[in-house]
Amino acid sequence: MPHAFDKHDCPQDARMFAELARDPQTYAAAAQAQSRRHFLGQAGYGLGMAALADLLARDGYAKPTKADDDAGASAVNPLAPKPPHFAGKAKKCIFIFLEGAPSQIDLYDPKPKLVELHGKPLPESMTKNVRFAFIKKETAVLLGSKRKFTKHGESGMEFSDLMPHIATCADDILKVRSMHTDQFNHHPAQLTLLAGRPFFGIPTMGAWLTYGLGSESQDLPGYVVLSAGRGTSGGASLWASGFLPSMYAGVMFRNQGDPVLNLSNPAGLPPELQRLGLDVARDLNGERFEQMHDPEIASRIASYELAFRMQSAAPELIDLSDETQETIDAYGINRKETDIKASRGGGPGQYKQFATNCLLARRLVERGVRFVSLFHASWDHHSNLDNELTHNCGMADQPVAALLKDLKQRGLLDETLVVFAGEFGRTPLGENRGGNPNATGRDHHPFAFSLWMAGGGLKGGLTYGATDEIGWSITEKPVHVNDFHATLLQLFGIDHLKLTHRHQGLDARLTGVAGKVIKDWIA
Amino acid sequence: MRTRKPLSLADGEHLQIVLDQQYGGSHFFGRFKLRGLTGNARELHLPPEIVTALKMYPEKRVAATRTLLFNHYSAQDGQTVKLQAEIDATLQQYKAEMMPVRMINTALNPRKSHRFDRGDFLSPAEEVKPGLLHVVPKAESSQANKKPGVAKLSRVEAGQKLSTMPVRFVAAEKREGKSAKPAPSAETESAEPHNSRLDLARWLVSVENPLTPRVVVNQIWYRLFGAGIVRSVGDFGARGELPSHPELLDWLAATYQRDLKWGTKAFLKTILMSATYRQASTHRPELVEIDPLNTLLARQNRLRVEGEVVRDLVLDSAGLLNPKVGGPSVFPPMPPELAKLSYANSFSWTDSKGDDRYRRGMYTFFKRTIPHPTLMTFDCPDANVTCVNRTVSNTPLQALTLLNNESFVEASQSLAKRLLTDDEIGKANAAAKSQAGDNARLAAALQICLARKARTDELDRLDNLLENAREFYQDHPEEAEQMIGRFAVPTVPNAEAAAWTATLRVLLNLDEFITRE
Repeated sequence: MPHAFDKHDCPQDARMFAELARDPQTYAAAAQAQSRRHFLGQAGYGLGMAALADLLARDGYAKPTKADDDAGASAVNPLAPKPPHFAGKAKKCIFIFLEGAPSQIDLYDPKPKLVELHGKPLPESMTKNVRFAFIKKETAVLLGSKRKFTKHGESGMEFSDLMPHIATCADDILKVRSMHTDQFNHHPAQLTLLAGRPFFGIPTMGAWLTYGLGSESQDLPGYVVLSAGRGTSGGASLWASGFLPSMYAGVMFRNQGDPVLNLSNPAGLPPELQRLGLDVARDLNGERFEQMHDPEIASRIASYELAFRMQSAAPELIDLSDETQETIDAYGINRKETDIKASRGGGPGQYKQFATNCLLARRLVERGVRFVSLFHASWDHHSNLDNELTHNCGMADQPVAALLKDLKQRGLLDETLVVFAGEFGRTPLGENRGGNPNATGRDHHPFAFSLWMAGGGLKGGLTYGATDEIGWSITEKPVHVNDFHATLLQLFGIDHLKLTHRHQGLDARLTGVAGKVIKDWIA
Repeated sequence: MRTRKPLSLADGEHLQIVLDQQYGGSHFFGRFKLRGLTGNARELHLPPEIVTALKMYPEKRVAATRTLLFNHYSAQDGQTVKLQAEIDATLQQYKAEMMPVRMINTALNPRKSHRFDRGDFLSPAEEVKPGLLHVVPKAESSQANKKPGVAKLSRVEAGQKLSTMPVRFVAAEKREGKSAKPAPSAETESAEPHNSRLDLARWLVSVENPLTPRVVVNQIWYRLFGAGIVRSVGDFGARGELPSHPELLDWLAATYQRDLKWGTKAFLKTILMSATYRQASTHRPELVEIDPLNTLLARQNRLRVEGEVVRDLVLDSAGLLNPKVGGPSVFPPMPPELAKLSYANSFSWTDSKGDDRYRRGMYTFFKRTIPHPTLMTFDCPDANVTCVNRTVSNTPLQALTLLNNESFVEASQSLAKRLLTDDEIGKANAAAKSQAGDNARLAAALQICLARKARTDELDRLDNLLENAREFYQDHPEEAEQMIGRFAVPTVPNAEAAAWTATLRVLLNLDEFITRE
């Protein structure tokens, strides 16, 4: 299994010391088992910390070996890679979240019958017990899609004319048409899709994955968030670590100023003085460590070294000058934005930002970052659906297709899971908010929606599940969001029942008290 | 509108008002209401504010307007005036002792409560009654026992695990001959009177309930020692851990509840004055084998302070901290584009000005969808669910925050100014640039930041940095000006102040600085 953390000669120790850095209590147990020399070898010298090396030398210990050096890096880095429960193909995830929920009926799930029934009401029995966000049941009628659907690739997967580029990746894509969720309003549904349950204060999937697997990146955060356009309804709760330690929370890479908050040295402080200052801090911290033997001090020394490396790694990450013009063009970074008027998004500049984020996502996973979230709001097309969806797909289609092809060409797609999803679907009924008879949009529909994924050991070219003739209900192979999560974790080699964290007396997990792995998805 | 002539209606007569709308082809007014008033408002000699209030639609009147009307109306009645005067006099008497308290009165009209299936408020399941868990000691209802402040416990055994240890409270109960009753069945439960919040409050602080003081003192202990006597501070239940020192826990609980009457300050002092608390946290090799978890507390534990306190320490060392207590939340600097990530850009953050910029961390405004990044980086819980023990992490983002965050950079600038304008040090050594003068200042800075005396080797290292910084800033006046920000010292060259800023910044970045040792 080609995996960075296999190189450790003693993964057991590495894991234990990663625990140690997180929990001083565990340290004590570790300390009992390990000699002081061993600990110093692990925690100290691996990072080239002169003070601790001095300690070793003064104590008459030999210079640690290369193996110690590798393990040492993980000993003091709480995000050091950890082995999964079993072998899994996926190592990284790029989760493209389309906030507001795109219309599956106009993108993925063609319904000729719905077009036929356009303008007709639904039988009352179907809407009787349904709560809508805005639709007035009494006068709502069905809204056929104006989109043209065609089959693509050997698999013959269907996409609408709004996704010509993504359609060319059909045979790498696993499309699910039978998703369902419990929530019909945005924020709760977003929390459900990203964190498994509709509550504040629980960890998001990226936090669970970095908690379970750590990150292979030594100089970037393990869980990175990129955003284009306006903010989402959920704000930071969509990349929170909830009750998991905050080090597992997503780190927002910003579109302006420093890519990471507080990354730049204070104005007027040159890099050489920064380094000198850090050296003095490291020496003084090292002396304190000698007196106190608190592994937290070693961990803090390491965190400053990581920060120093991040100060060069993060600007390097967002500097696209080493990408070829071919790549820049493939992602469509400098495309002209469409003239179509869309009022819901975040104004001009979104096309460029979204395309840039797609390329950054590839650069992040290339550098070992575990989880990359790409946010774009909004896909909440209650009205003006055709124009808005055309505008947004015009933005997303080319760069996302380019990302898939780029990952594949670099041999990264097998180990990188790409998800493209909104928090629920949209109604086959046209939205007649306030009794308006001219429906031009669709309301929220949690009962049946589509999303797609690619890479990470998934079966490409598979269209999974089905809905009825108008796309109202699932007719085949329903997939709850919890099942979706259970299966994604499985791809990473994680048993969703075993990745737990004790919280308020419960061994809490991403999938709550539900979730079943869908074996059919796994290649 | 007013009628030209006074109208009077006999019984059975109706007044018909016809509205002739002459605007365009459709009605100008849609649905509207007419209200009538007998008499002539102009002849009542009403105060103008009352007239304004009366002219408003009743549903548009805010509470203050309604009060205004009510008071005016009551003032017309002699009996009411007399009673009101009595009320006012009585209130005046107690004014100093009164504070506004929000009340929820459920006694008159108790609400039906349901279990929500999987927490979904749209899926109410069976009805549930207010009451205590069967595993905890149970109080009698306030409706059964009207005597205020008394809650009798019908069962006194605490969580099974706690009751099995040698506990003073339980032993005392047993002496009185009480024994555990079986948990009431569903039928007997429903026959009981309705429990209220008051019952819960009384039960919580009942002198016979050992659970509350145990939990509270354990939490205090946890914050002073880094681990609770019951290590699972949030879980005293069946899955929680056993106390390491059960007798101590009960002694503390009894002291806090009975002797100190819940006086937290006095209780804190009791612990803080103890020999156990005042121990050093220095490593003791002989303990590693004997007590690796330091359960027996043969030394203190080192604790990274909480996120809010990190800020307080930095500001206090810099001499910037505004110690004001209470008041509305404040907005310490945060990049404005962060706030835009909140719900559909519905929230904006304007940095506080003046002294409010330097309030304690606990007064930082908390927006749940965009909490302040400095707090979150230092493990502040997200305020969405209860958190009884915070995690303590150690991340590069913390390092970047302490090194480069606007507030913290300001603090190092201010700290430099504080040291450079300190008269005591100036007097002690007139030659400010001499080696001895530098060392005196550095030692003073260490005393301020770390509350201890500096060692020579530490001073040597800092002095070396200071010299390097001086060399740089003497050649780079522009950088020097940027480095000192708003904290220029008139009597000191910019290059000198900048060199001190760059050097003292290191002290604010030491592990020791943000750790209680």
